Amino acid sequence: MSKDKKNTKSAVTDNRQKTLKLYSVGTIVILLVIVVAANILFDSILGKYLTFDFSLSNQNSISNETQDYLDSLSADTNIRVVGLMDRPTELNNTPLRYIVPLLDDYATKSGGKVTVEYVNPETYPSIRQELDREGQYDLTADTFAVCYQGKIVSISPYDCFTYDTESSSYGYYVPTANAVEYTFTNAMANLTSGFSAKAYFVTGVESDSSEQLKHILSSLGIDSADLPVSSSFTIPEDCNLIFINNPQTDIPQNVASALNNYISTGGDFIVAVNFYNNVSEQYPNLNSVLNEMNLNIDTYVVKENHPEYVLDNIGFEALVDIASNYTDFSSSSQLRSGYARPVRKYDNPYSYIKTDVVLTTSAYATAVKINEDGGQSQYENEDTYNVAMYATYEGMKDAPCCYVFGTSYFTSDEYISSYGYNDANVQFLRNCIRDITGMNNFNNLQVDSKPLDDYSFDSTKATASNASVMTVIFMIIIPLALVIAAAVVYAKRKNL
Amino acid sequence: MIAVFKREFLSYFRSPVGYIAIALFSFLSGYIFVNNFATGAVNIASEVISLRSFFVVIVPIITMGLFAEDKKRGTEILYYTSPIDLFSVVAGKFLAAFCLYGIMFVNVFIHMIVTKSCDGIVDIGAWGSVIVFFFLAMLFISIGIFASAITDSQIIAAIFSFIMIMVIQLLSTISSLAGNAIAAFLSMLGVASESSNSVGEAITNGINWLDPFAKTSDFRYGSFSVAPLVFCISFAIVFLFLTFRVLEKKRWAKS
Amino acid sequence: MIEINNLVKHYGDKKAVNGISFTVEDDEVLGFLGPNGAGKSTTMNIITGYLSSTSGTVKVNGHDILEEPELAKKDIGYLPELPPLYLDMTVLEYLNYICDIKQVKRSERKEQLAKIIAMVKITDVADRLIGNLSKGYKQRVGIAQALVGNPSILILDEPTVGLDPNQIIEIRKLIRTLAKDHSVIISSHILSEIQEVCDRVVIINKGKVAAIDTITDLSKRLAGSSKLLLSFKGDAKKIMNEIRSLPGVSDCKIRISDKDIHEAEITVTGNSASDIRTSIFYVMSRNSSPIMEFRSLDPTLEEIFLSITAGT
Repeated sequence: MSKDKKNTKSAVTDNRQKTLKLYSVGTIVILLVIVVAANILFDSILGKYLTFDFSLSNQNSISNETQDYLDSLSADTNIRVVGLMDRPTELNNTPLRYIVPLLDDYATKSGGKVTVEYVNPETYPSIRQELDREGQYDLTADTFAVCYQGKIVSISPYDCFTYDTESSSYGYYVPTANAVEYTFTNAMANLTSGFSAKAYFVTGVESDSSEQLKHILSSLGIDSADLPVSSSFTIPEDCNLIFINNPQTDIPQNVASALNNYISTGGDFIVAVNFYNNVSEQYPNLNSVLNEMNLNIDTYVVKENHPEYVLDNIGFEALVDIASNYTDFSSSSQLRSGYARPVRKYDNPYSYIKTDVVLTTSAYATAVKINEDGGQSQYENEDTYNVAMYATYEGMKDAPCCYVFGTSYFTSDEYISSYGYNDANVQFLRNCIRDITGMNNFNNLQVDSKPLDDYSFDSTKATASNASVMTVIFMIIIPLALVIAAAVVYAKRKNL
Repeated sequence: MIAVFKREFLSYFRSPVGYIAIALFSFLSGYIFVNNFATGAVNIASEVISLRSFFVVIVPIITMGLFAEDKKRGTEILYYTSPIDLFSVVAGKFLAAFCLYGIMFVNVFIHMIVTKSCDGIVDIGAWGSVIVFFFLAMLFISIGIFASAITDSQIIAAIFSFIMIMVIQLLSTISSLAGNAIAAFLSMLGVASESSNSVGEAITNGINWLDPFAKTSDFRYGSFSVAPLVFCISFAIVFLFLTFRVLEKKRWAKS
Repeated sequence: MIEINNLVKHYGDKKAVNGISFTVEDDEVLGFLGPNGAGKSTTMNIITGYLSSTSGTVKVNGHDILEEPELAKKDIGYLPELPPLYLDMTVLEYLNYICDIKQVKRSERKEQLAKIIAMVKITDVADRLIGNLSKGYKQRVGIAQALVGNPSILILDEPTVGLDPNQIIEIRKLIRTLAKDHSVIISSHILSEIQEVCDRVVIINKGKVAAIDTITDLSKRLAGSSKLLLSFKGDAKKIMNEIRSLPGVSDCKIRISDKDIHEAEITVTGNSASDIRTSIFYVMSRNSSPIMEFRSLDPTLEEIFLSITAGT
């Protein structure tokens, strides 16, 4: 009797324990399932909508311009962005910290039109072959390749920023602006628009380097190359645009005649000169070319006298007005100019050439000649001077046209790197280039570069003595006070 | 819950543990801050991110005793025989450790004030890092509490949570190692290199999916998203729930 | 009132508790007696809700401990074998914490704590660290802890173990005071302790109830046989024979012989234990044998169980 009872009991026993165990394990499993499901839901479905970019100027989000551009692409577009590296995990203090998150944003917000992947060519050497069948592009490791229908734009992370020109004196690069989105969106836009052009820079006339200008051109889809002056100087067939960017000396005779030929075949060019270190240079050969376009540059410096225009004490650096035909080239109505030579219409104009004033001084400017001994002598009366002009043949298809700037404040590396790609002058120049190359028919994307965060202190406060005060407070006083508190509490309570 | 929270939180300050943990954190954060200060540029976000590497030391210190000590002293019986819910015991202890972390973090807020007063910038990325820091703290503290609940030795609890947190911090390295190892293993078995590579990559990605650091890396740039926070908090809840189940197991388990 | 019905607890294959049933009436002091490992602590842990039983029910004032644990636990004050004390807290801090987790209303707290502290006589150590208290005081703090929240039932697991005799007497006094308005269950493996304070005794052995009885009834049942211990000098053999021949003595044997002192264990039948001592004295006197020690031997628990099981 009692034995039977025991047996039934042990059966009951096991059941209660089993139930509890089952319940316990079951709830854990259910919770895990819910958690994983919720995470997948948030990760892949809701994640896109529940992401908010609060960063200053949205460093890591694409702007409306880019979004509009991406939306305008047809749904079957496939732009492949390939990072030729392992996907970076440690972004701190590398330029990649502004690139990787932004590219992810492209991928999320493009709806599949842009794909981003990271392939290390050292691990998978076949990637080069895969992207670039004909081996015509330079796909070095640690760069990004933007690929569209077999065409590639290669972007190095260091190209995505503008740097302080004084970098060389600091011994390291100091980025001044974040042009990641600018670079990538323009690269995509140029690939998808199908526009391509080639610009040549006439070098060897003591002109400065034009690296920044080349970046701007490349963002506009224009390849650039140097064209050094020589006795056998010829202008290549594929040339769409010639730059003569701040020559300190005049161009040789043979180059001038080559340019004249170029003009007669409808070639376009942009010239910029200044009056800073080359006060005695009169550019006779360059002027002979410009004269063919009804233009001339003088050997004076423009001195602004209107107090609202003057930027420095002397009046050599000043604001200039944008002529009415060109106001839509810039969002601002005035631009910066400095050490400008006046640009004027040639004295014996050809009737079939139309010239246009682009940038002008106030009505109170004078032209000043700098003598050999450094003294100034005023040459002209107060008047309005032109700092930039435009010229083209009238009533002709594929007519030659040119922009001539009397100042280097639009094209020089020094200016662009100091003021960045968003500067009004740079914007204006960009529109001049669009205009002269006829690119406006293809795309007119305007993506700003972004200011970088600057964490530096007011230098008067980040002194060495303050730093040592901080050291004492944060590394000695506070921890020590806490350790003492610990000792006091311990000693006190121990004897309670 | 409040009762348990109050006791545990105050007990950090009745013994030297709380003070020492805060002193340690103050020293470490002070070291980072002062080093940046000396260069004349302070990015609070990178300071906070550097501080995350000390979870591995500080979390075990403050969580190891939470349940292990109760078990050793026999005081855990109070939780079972008092009219309170076991889960609220877990939640109270969790909250106590979390608040201690909050107090430690006052250091960083002081650094922020100093930064501001020196005309430095405390930008949205810094606040993003702070948010991430606290969510990661939740996750790691819940792991520490779980470790404390499964053993009655504080040392074992500390070692266990140390290892767990270490593994999570090294997850990105581990994932690529595991991916490569498996890819190599598969190709050794004669699988075509393309498919073995893709398997390796899938494994790398799978493990990376679990990495809370990678998920939250955009916060420091001011780009906030809800999904990684949901990830941290949901796994914190999982570990707290596991802790609760471990405690409750004692009622019915065979030994 | 606690009703325990058919309680079973398995640890794997081992049955720690195997079908225990008994009832504790209001304001009754129940002794819970059994040798070490008999299942006393397990049963108490089940009653207090620490462990879940494998089967059977426990009802505390009508509330099932598994189904309405919070209501049931509110009515129980429990002092486990190892008092649940935080050594890093002072007595007051600790009792306040206990008030917190037992959800004592803030308004009643001060008054209640003052009453408890006075009752268990820990007023002078109220501000001291528990870790620095003597064992007796720690035990009192443990009892104070059990009293917080005014439970109608107190469960004390081995409340006097490890205390010195003075402390034991104090604790027993305290329990007697508490018994006036609480139901109390006291577990012990010492019979005399239970006899001192309990109305009724439950004796368990190997996870089963061996007997439930009042102290007086139990004494009667145990009176069936009793033992005396006698140490003496002299001719052991002769004296032993004489004692054996006394009426009422069923057995007499030498336990220890050390030089000239002998220790004998005398088993007496019937309820003439007191009378036989006179006869033994005369035997010794006749033999000019000095009595070094002469006392009645408390029965060990094992003997009680033997006698109880033998009787049933």
